[in-house]
Amino acid sequence: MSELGPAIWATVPLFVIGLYGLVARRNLVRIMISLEIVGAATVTIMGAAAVALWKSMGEVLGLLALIAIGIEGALLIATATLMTRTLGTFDVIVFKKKDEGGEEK
Amino acid sequence: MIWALLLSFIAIAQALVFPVGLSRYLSSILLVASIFFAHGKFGSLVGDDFTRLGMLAIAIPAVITLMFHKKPQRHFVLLVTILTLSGYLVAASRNLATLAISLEAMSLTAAAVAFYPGAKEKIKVVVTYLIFSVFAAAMLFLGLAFYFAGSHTTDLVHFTQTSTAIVGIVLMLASIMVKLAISPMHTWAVDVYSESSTSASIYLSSAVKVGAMLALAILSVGPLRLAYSVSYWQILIPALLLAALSNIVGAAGMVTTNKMKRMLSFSSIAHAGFVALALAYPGQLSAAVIAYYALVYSIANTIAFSSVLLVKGEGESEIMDLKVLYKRPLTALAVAIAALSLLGIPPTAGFSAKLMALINLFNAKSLPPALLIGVAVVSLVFTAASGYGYIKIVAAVTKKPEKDQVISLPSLEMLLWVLAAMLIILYFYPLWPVPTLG
Amino acid sequence: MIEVFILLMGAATLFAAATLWDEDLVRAAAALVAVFLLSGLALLSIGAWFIGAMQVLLGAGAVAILAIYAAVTASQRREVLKAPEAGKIAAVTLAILGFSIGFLTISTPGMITFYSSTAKSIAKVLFSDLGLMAALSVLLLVALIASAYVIRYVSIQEVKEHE
Repeated sequence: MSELGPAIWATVPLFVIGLYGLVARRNLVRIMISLEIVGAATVTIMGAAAVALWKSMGEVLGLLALIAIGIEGALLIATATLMTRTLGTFDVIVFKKKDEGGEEK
Repeated sequence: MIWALLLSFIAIAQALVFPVGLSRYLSSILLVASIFFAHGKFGSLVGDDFTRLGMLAIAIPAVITLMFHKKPQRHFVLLVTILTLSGYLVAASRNLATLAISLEAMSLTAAAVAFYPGAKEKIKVVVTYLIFSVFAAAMLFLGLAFYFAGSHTTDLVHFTQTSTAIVGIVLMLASIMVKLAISPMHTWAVDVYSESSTSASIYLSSAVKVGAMLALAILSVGPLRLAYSVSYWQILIPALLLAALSNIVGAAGMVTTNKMKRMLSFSSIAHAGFVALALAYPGQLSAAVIAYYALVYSIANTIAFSSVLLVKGEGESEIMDLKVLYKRPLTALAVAIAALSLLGIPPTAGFSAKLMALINLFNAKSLPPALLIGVAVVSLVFTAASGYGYIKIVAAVTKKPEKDQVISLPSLEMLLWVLAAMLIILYFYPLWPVPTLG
Repeated sequence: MIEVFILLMGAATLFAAATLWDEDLVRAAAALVAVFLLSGLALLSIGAWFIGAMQVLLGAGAVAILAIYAAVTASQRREVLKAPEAGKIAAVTLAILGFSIGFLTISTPGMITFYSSTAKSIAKVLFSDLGLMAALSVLLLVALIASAYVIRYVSIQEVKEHE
């Protein structure tokens, strides 16, 4: 009997929700939250694989993924702060329209 | 390899210390010098012919960007140096974990470079770039997790045949295709390359693209080759179809625009499609072809973007603005050679790169021949159609301008002549760097 | 053992759904803390001590707090959740993707037994590959400088307005 399969299976809804958020949400903070959800799912898969395969490499990979995706999220938050301070919105689409409207004037 | 890394780290450290006027030159020298020291092994970083060629392809646009920017800020020198170092790491990595980390470092810095010089209108560019790079990063690490869970390792030699590992390979391939701007995910490239400042565009469209190409080569010499050898060739079919599609999209975009930077960003999409054709028969040969293609593309694209830097500085230019190069016959010739190389006309290196990509396509014995022929014909036809765009460049530089305009970057011009000569030399002496494994 | 893991991951999935469909941005960010906590606990429950603890410390303790910080500084906390026109297509595509990934990975070989991670074995793996360490150090350097460069513009802008 395999138990790594069900363990991966339990993380699938998590990263599907995260990927949907990346595609369908327009708020930059919410995009960052979705990315972190995918990151949580990724780290969980790596940890489960480390346990099932008896390899510490899985946990190291999990740590690396956590750091890399965390950093990406931090840069997104930095950009979100930039956006809300200069243009007053987190919304990617509203902000793009504002930008185009500004050019027309 | 350790000396190359040390030199690059020194380049970063001196960019923090010395004034910008000095550090930009020191940084260029140190980054180029580290190519010569890329030998031997350092953990999963390996310095071989493949690595050195990839490093050269990344260093050329870096040097042009660093040396010929009008008034760089200290951050710009620092960011470009770090970005070049992370590109070097991509070229040298022979382990999927190292590859993923270096790619991540590369795309994060690229987002910051796209923001340069930090004006309000550049926020849109950096947001567009970040959203796509975040999507790619999520898929890359997810793919890495599945690959590890299925294949029990992240090196390029061992493989356990499970469907989980195949899922991981597909996700990683999709992520790198987003980074390469293969067609359904190409919109970010047009926005970013045409709207960021010219120095940043040179760097992003040449070096960062080359980094993604090298990552594709490493993927093709590792997991993709292993999957192909256990006859999981079906996963390559969507990749080939998307490659053909991005050739179509790139050609269509190129023909319909008159802006130079916009046209070149569509051209980069078409080139990404063409280089992905080499995936049809993944292995060491395809990695060599992709690396050669990356070098040739990097040189030609750098020359083409630099012509904008010569004519219009950091802004966008019409293709017809290149007329002013008429008074500078050698520079005009260099730009024309670059355009012809991007199109793939002999005797320029672009021809042999495209030819080898097609030859590698027909090495694939497992894939259905009808598909291969279809993809090759579509790609060739639309590359020929995109020739209209490149010919416009050649026509512009051979047309006499009405009024004179002074061009004040003579040293850049000389560098462009050298690079154009390299394109001719690479046609007669092509390089096939085979990456070493293990 | 695996049952506890699946239960905790199920709870984490509920909170993940809350982050996307809760109209209040601060509550959504707080739900992210719960997602990290629960998935970290799930990892602890199968014996991956190290990465589970990291998930809680780094994920819930640092990354999710960043999201909360950005959410509380927002001028508009509530927002209308309108997906773009392609949202439905994306949902269907991702559902198919999720089902096919679940189908393909359900038989992954591997048995969850009494594994217990030790800091020694992890450090051994991490530091045996110095190339990986070099890449990681570059990534951390990038994080510092790239975020600083992006944020710097805000402060410059505010100083200019002040003047």
